[in-house]
Amino acid sequence: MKSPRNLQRLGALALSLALGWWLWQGVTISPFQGITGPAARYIHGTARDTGAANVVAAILFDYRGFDTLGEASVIYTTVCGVALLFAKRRYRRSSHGLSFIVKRSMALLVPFILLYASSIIVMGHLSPGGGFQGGSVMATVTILFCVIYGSSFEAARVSPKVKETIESSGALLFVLIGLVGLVTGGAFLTNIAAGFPRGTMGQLFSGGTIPLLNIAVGMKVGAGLSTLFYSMVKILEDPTESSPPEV
Amino acid sequence: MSAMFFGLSTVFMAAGLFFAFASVVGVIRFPDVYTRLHASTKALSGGAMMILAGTAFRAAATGNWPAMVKTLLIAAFLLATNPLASHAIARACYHHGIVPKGTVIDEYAETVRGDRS
Repeated sequence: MKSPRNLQRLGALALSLALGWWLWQGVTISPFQGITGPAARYIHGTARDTGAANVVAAILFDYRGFDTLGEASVIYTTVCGVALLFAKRRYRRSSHGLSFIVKRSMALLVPFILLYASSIIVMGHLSPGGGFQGGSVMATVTILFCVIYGSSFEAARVSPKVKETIESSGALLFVLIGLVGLVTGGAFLTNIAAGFPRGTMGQLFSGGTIPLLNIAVGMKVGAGLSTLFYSMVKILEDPTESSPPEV
Repeated sequence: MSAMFFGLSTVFMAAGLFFAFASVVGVIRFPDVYTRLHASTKALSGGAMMILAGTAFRAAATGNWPAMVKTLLIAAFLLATNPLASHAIARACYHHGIVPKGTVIDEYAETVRGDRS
């Protein structure tokens, strides 16, 4: 009975049990027991220091905001490099997209997906999410446009120039918010100490610079990933032109 | 009223679990990609939506109306997107050249070729 297939099944069973046990631990764990060191300091001090309800967002955009600027710059540099390398190709229709049903339903769903992305960005300091995640969802919409309607569609609606402008202004906004800290005599990217209102924790307008930086990063990531995708999709073009299938 | 909602939610969640389990069995046991797709969509449009309906009833039982509306909206979104994705996958498989197992009459192929116009 020791065939490879049975061994495979045994492995799958063990994996399922381990995963189930792990999830169960996650359900039953008590989150505030036995936390010491830096983690305890961040959990207890975030509300006082930044006014943000989301500890991760506070760490990302306040305690280590300068690192985040670097991370966002990595994406920016990547987009610039890819766009530079792939820019000289001629643009042609690469596909006809999917069927009529998918095209129509996508048109109905796009506003809701955009609303969801905006809510992830704007609520980044209150709930899980933030600029990187919401920007990715927003870029997903443009990538879905390419998959569903064919690659010539999205470029005709949103020109690369507009996306570049959005991306650059996102980066500029981030640095400008950081400079406010310098102007008021603090460090670069100072949050509450630079005079930004702390607000009430849990409200939309709270957390000082964190929502603003989320919006800046969201602009940068959304436009950047979209540009990245459309720079590379040109390489995969198929020059054959034919009428789209009807069914 | 509250107890009735509570019971209904339990019934819905049990039905959702049954659908999820049946879809897992279907994905393992069914022979080709189309029947497996048929089974796997039940995990979402049967299982997840039933469980979401159960959650909505449970929220209604505790008088948490905003949570109920949100849950129903999520269910509506799943109802709109899941058939879409399955349809796209099935169509892509067909145009890739995968023939459904045990096909006798293929009217879709005739329509694509234009025989029936």
